[in-house]
Amino acid sequence: MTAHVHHDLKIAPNRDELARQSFATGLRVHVLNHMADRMKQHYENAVEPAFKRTHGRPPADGQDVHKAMKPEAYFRFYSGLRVNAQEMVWASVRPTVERALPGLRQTAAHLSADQQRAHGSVTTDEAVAVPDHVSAMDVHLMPGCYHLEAGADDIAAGVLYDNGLSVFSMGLMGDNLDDIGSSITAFIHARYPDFKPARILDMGCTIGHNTLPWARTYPEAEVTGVDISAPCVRYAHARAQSQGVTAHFRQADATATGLEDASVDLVFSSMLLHELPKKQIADVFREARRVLKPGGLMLHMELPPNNQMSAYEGFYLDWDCFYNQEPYYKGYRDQDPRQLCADAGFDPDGYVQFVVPSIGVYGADAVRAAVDAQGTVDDETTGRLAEGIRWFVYGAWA
Amino acid sequence: MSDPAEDNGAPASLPRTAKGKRPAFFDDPAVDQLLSVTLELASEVWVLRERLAAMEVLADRHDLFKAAELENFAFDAAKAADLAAQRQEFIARLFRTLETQVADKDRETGD
Repeated sequence: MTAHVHHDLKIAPNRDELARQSFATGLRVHVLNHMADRMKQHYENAVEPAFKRTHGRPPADGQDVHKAMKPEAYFRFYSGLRVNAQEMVWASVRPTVERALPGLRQTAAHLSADQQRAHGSVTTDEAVAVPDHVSAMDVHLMPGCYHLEAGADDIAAGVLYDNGLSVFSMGLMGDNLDDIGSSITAFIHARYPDFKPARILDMGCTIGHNTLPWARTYPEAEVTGVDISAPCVRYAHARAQSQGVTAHFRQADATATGLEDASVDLVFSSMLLHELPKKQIADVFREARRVLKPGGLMLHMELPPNNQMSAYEGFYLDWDCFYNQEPYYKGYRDQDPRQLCADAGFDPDGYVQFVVPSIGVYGADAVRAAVDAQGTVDDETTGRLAEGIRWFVYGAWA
Repeated sequence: MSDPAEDNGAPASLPRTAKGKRPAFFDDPAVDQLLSVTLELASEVWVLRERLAAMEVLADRHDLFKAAELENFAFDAAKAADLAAQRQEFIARLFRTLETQVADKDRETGD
């Protein structure tokens, strides 16, 4: 069993496959904690002073820092190790997934049909096209990306992602890979005790791992997750059924969800916007505005923006844009969250921003205690998948 | 349904590589490739270590020998000498390309 995939769609790695998984995780732990700290020290000790001597000023932004760091051997090895670790994440689970898939397809079909467990649904739609900006390259260096589909019952991309995420996350996304959703739902529930959303939409939900905490926190609500990937929504539904959580999954683009105007109380996304070109980001915001009821809430869990971080931390987070096949990452992070909301027609007075401690790392009390804080980005921990992670969330009331 | 399903048909075949240009960091692309080779080797070394650790636990569980016995194990003189010779051969093999390179340099610059 992969460390954080316990449900009925789990796979069965052999001894050596388990060891390859643990090596990939261990390599990431080393690179993203020890090497990341050491690289920052090296920047402060040597690279930044040299930049100042040459230019007569400190680096202005992440781009300046990136240029200064590129020739550094430590940066090159940090990056080389991180890319290899990323490839090893997928390679470590792929053979096990390939072996398990024929059986898992049957298991998923049984789970999806089993109305005893939960009353969710899944709807795929052949008319949903994979946009060029998605099909151009395999995001996260994940072979086949999220939308690769082989047949009407295919769930491979979902299986690969669930198990890969388990290896990738180093335990920081929790034992059910839902720390983002669990932390944020606990936070919102405590922050707005009178807010009782009846309909909740999760945009770009992939395998629904962060969709289900909404259904758990608001059991009366009708929860829907949409994603352009048919294999992911099929898997998401079977996974939800396995965990006894009722949620509905639909194959749809977040820019055109097909939901009625003013029909949703809460629109959520996690780690979606930074994968999209600017036009699609604006379209997602407009779609959220369109489907929200008056008094509804839009929330995006995302990476913190460059204009709320130092030049070095901006550079550090934007690494993925250049080396993890996430080409829109920096373009997204260079935008201002408040402005994005305003541009879509949200009242600037309704803007909200939170920094939510990871419930797995800090505990439920710390999450509840954080509700009165200002939501100020902490350079070291906010949005950075390493020890002490805090999630960055913002949005607006409609 | 709670057991992971296996042997339920031919294994699927998923893509091996990601679409897009593979990120590279060194002036000579061979260094990037060597780094990958080294990491694959490191991963397989770790696989062996985990497997040995599992075998020690199983040996103990089945009363074949105790882990402490392995820890305090010493080779007899003949076996120790044999291993020492094997070790030096192993090290020489590991660094054989350095020897080739220096020999080539000698030939180019010598008279």
